[in-house]
Amino acid sequence: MNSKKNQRGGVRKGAGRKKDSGLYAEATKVVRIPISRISEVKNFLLNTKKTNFSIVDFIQPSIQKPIPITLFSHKVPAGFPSPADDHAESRLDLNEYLINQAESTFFVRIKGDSMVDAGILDNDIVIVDRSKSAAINDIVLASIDGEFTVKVLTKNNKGPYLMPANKEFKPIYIEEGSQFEIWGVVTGSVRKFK
Amino acid sequence: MIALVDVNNFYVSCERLFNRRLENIPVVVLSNNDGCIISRSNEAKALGIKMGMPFFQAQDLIKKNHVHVYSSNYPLYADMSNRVMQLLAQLSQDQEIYSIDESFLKIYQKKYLLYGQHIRTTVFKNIGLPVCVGIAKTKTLAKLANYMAKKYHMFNGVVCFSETNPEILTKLMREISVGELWGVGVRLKKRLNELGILTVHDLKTANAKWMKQAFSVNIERMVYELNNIECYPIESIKPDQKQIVCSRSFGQKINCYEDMADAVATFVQRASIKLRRQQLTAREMTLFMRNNPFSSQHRIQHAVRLKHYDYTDSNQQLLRLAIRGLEKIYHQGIDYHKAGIILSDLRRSINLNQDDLAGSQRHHLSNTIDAIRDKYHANIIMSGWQSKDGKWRMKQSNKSLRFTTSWQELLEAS
Repeated sequence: MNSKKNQRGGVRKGAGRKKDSGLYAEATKVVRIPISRISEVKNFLLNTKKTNFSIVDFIQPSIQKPIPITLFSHKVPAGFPSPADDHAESRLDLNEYLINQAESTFFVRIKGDSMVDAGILDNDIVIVDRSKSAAINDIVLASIDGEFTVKVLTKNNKGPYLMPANKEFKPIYIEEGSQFEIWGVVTGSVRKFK
Repeated sequence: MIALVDVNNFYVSCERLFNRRLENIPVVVLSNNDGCIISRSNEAKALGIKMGMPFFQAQDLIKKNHVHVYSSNYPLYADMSNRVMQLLAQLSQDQEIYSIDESFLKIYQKKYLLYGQHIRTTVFKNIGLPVCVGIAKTKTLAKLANYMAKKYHMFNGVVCFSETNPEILTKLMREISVGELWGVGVRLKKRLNELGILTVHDLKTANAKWMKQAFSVNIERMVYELNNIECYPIESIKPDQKQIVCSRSFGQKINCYEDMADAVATFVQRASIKLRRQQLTAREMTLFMRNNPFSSQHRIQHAVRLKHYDYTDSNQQLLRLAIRGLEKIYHQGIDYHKAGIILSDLRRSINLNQDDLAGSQRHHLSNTIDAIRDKYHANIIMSGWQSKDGKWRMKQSNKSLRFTTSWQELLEAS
């Protein structure tokens, strides 16, 4: 009889919700809570449940070696964070001011006084940019018969010539058959006093 | 499409840029130690001076024709190379720097020939170095196009295979020796010639599968690449180096152990700096030394392969290894002419910190020494084996100034 009864009704093996399969993934219990605070408790359970869920399932054990952090490489003063932190800008860099096209910029040391009236003195370093195209009245680095010279590019009815910026010096006219080229345009100069 | 941009006679062109008197006259640049001729102006080529010719063999030609001779000025060439590569990077997003004076670029502009000319004039205007450009569908063809642009003046420095008359291309490929192709060396050329493959055209029309069986997969790929099928794409990210070599011919012969140890210690130092800069470590070192094959009857070469117990990038550990090797192979009574080390079995350095305290300390020590040497000068910290003015150091009798890397040696203008 017993065996027959088992076949007919009652609890069947494996029926119903699986253990720990519900909303909370564990056994639950009925408790009394004030009606006005039901939603509060529900929300609390929902939120905490989410966290539990992700901790269990999604965080993989780290297989990477820890990344070493050099201690004391930056001094971090304890206390308030600096109010300037969000406004920090990179410090001014003279390269950025003086150089436009880094790969086509060259430095050239000036020898002599032929350009003093243009503010270029003996031993100054001028910045020469090859990527610029020379225009009349530009200061240029030119080569005449293999000799490098810095002068003002000037023009008369016969064509271009080189003008020094010092009355003591004569203009350089380009004679026919001489090798002449403009090597680059002088875009600035630097001088150190100490 | 792929472009190969290559600076014409790179080292000579660098010398000419800062010495305008060298324009239109024969000029050559010598290798380290003034040993061989490694760069020639077109005028020097026309005189019959060959690439790689030992200097002393060319001396008569040089004297008779007033050829200007320069020792190699690597600081200058390296800086000029960086400038060219930086500029080319602005002209194409996909760049593979192939050597000190060559770069592959991917070109998307449709008017290839026009863009090739744009590259050529821009590099010449902004940097002052003449380049030739070869444009084609594959790297092998781009290399070949570049060769044609250099060799045949009718192209005006730029060759694009898709915009050149196919009949002219075929005619030229029948003329150009297979030995001029990218990846075909002297030995391979000889083997190909034995099979009746003499010109580029012969290889292009060969059966790829059959070539694979007779030679290797590389030759098969070469045949494909010659037929517009890309096998070697542009590699913008450089794969890790497989080995690091540092070797030199000596300024004068070395026949004393201390001098040799000085040289070897300096090679180790240079090689280990290269290693650390690329964040690599090594486990194997080959040390070799030989006499001068031109001035002695017997060619003597000694070499030893050394294994370190673990991967390392430490100067001291590598030096200890090298000295152990030196003790093994150094022979009294030989006039050594050249020596060097090769680091191999390289791999990325991983953080040694946690479990290997000594290793991490060695790593930090080497890096600190590098930083000090960078800040002051290269000889400020040396190992006990090294000397400041070892007689093995470079003999460079006619070196130009470091115009772009030293405040003391700037170009001057009146």
